[in-house]
Amino acid sequence: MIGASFLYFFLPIFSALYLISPKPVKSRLVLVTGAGLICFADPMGLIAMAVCILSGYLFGVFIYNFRDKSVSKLLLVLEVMINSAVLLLFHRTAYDGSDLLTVLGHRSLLKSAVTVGAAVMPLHSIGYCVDVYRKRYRCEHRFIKVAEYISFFPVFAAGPILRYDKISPQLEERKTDISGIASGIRLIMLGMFKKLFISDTMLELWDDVGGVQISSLPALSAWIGILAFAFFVYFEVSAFSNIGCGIAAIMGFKLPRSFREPYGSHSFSDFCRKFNSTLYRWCKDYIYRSIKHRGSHGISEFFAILLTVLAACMWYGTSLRSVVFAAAMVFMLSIEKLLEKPLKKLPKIVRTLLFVVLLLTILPFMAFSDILDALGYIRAMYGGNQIAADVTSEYLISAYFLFVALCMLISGGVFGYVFKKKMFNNEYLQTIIQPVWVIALLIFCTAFLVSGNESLYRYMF
Amino acid sequence: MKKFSDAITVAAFFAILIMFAVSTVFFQDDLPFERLFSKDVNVGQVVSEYVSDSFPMRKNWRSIYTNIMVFSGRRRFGDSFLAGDRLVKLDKKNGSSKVIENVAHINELAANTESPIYMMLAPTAAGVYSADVPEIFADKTQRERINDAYLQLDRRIASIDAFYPLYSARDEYVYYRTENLWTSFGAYYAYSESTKKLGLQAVTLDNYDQEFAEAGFYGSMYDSAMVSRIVPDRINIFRSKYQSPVTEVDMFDGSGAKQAESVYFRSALKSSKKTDIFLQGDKYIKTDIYTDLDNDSELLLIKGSFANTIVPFYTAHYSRITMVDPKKLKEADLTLSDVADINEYDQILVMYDIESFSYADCLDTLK
Repeated sequence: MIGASFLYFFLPIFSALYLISPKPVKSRLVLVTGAGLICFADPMGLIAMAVCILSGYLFGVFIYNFRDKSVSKLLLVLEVMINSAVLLLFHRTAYDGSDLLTVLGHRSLLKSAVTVGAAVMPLHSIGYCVDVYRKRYRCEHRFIKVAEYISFFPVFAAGPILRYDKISPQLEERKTDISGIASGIRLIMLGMFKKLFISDTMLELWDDVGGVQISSLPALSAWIGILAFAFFVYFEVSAFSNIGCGIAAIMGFKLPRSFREPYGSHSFSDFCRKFNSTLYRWCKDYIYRSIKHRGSHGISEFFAILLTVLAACMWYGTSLRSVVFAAAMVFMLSIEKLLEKPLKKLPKIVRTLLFVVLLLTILPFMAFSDILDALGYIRAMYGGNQIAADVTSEYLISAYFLFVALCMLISGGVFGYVFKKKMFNNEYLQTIIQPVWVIALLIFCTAFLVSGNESLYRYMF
Repeated sequence: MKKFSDAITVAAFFAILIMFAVSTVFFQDDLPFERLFSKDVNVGQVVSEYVSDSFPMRKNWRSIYTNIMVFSGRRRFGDSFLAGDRLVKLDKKNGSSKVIENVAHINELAANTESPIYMMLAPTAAGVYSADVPEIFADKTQRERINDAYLQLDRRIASIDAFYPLYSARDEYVYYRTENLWTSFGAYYAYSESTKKLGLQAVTLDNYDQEFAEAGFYGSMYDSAMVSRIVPDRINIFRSKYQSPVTEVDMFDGSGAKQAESVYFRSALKSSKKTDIFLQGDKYIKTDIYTDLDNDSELLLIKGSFANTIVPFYTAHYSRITMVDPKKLKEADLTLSDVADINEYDQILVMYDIESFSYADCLDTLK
C-alpha cells in the first residue's frame, strides 16, 4: 500500500473523486475503492470482503428480528464462526509469510503476501452483530451503510478498529473542510515518515543483528537488536494506522487514536491499553466480557484474559510465534496482578524501566519462529554467550545511533509532551511552520519511496 | 490564520503530487500496457515498478536519499556497503552455496581431458577490504572460502592464488570504487601471479603504455548508493609499447559471429556499462582471440566477469585464446563440447571471482 503509486496517483485521484462526488455516491465510491484495493493485491481477497459484509448485514438483521428468542444466540455464534474462519484463512503476517493453512502444513489459499483488510473486516462484522445482539443499538437496514462500515478501506492496513455506534453519525454526516484535509495530509505524511524512515530502518537493524549466529551474539548487540525489533513493530503498525486516519480525515472522518506512547507504560496492563488501544477495546468488549461473567474471579477471569491476549496477539499474524508470545504476556500479566501492591509502591520511573526490560525479554518469542532460537537469544541478552560487546556492536551503534535515539524520543512521548505543553503556540509561527514541514516531509518521503531498497518493503500486514 | 495555513498546505501538497504524477505519465518512458495485459502478471506490481522506475528526477531523489542516510550514520545500501571511500558489494548471506557442486563440475572437466587445467578464484573488493566491512555481513572470509574450494579440487588441477597479490596491493587502485570488478591494475597483479603457475614469463608493466579510456566513470553500485563523496572511477587500459599481438577477435553469441581487431571496444564507453570496453564484457558465448605469435600455444578460458580485464595481458603469450562463458552456454542451452574441443588446447584456465563461483548454477554445462 505504501509506494510512490499510492502517494502520487491513488491519493490525489481518490481525494478528487471523493470530494466532487455528491453525497449518495460517496459511500459507493468508498466501497468500490475498498474492493479495488483488495483486488489490486489479490482478487481472492474479494471473497473475504463479500463474506464479511453479507454475514454482518444479514446476521445483523436476523439477530435483531429474533432478538428475544434463543435462536438469536445461535445466529450470533454462526456469525462469529464464519468471520473467525475468514480471519484465520485470509489474514496472514507477511513477516514470516504464513497464514493458518501454511502453519498447519497445507498449501495456502492465496498467492500474494497480503490479503488487504482481512484483519479488520471480520472484527467490524462481529462487533456490529454482537452489539445488535446486546441491544446496544438497532440493526441497520441500509445495506450500503453497513457495507461501508465493515469495509472502510482507510483502516484496512492496521486499524484503528472502528465501532459502529461511533462511526455511524459520521457516515451519515460527512464534514469535509480544508482543516480536515490539511490534518489528514499531516497524518499521512507522519505515517509515511514513520514507515519509511524509522520502521524500515529498524527492520534493517534487526536483520543486521540476525546476521550474527545467536551462539556468538554479544549481549550489547542482542539488546540493540531486540530494541530495534520492538521499535519496528510499534512504528510499523502505528505508521499504517496514522496513514489510515489521514485518509479518513481527508474524507471527513475523525477516527480514534490507537497509539499513546506505549513504551512509556508503567505496567503490562497499561501497555495493553496504550498499544493499539482500539484493538484492545474490541478484544475487551467482545471477548473478555463475553467469557468473564459478572462478579466472577479466579479461573474464569484467567481464562478470559488468556483468550483475549491470544486473540490480540493473533491479530498481528496467525503463527505459532504469536501464540507463544501471548502465553508469555499472560504470564507477565498474572505476575503483575499477584505483585500489584508492592509494585505500586515503586516510583513510576522504576516501574517503567522494569516494564521495558521485561517486555524486551519476552519479545524474542514474537521475533523468532523457533522457540529454541528465542530462548538462545534471551540467553545472549543476559550475557550467556560470555561476550559483552564486540566490533559488531560498535558498528551497530555508530550506524543506527541517530535512528534509535529518534525512536526513543518519539515512542517515549517527548514530541507529544512538547505539543501538549504548547511550546510552539505562536500562531504566526505555526502558519509558516505547518506547510513547510509538510512539504519537507513530502520531499523526504518521495526520496525514500523512489530510492529505497525494495527488498526492505516487507509488510507486517 | 489557521485556515490560511491549512489552505496553503493543501494547495502546495496536491500541486506537487499532480505535477510529478503528470510528469511520470506523460513525459517519461512508454507506459507498460503490454506487460499489464500479459498473463500471470500482478497489475499492482507492474504499476508500482513503472512509477518507481519512471519517476522524474530519479537520480536526484536517490542522491537525496543516500546523503540523508550517510549523514545519519548508515553505510549499507541494499547489498552495497560504503567502506571508507569506496563501495563494496557485500557477500550474499543465507544463500545456498553451490561451491561443492561447482567444484565437482570442474573436477569432472579435468577428468575428461589430458590438457593441464588451472583454476583461479579471485577475491572481490569485499574480500580484500574485509577489514572495513563489519563481520556481520559475511559468514566466512573470502580467503577461507577460496581455500575451502581449492582443497576440494582434484589433484590434477593447479590452483592459482590471486588473493595474496591483491591483498598486498590493496592500497593501490586494484578495484573500482563504484563497480564490482577489479581494475586493470588488479587484473595485472593476478596475471603476474598466474604466470608462475602457467609456466610463462610475465610481461612487466614498463612494457605497456597506460591509457585513461574514461576518467569520470560511475559503476552500477553507484546507482544504488549515490554517495556524493565518492570520487568517480577511471577505466585504464594497458597498450603494449610495441605492436599489439592481437590480429583477430571472433565473437559468437548463438545467433551469429562478429569480428574485431582489438580486445578493447571503445564503443562501450558510450553505453551504460563502460567496463564492457574489455572484450564486450559478458555478451558472448564464445570469443576467440588470435595473435601473431608463432608458438602454437592455445589457452581455453572458462570465464566469469573478472576474466575480461585480465585476458588482454594473456594475449602476449598465446597464439589463440578461447573464452567460453558457461552462463551464456546455459542461456543458449548448449554445452562446452558444442562450442570447443577441450583436447585441442594446451592449457585450460577456469577463472571466476569467489562470490560468483559460489552461486553459479551454470557450470553443469562444462561437458
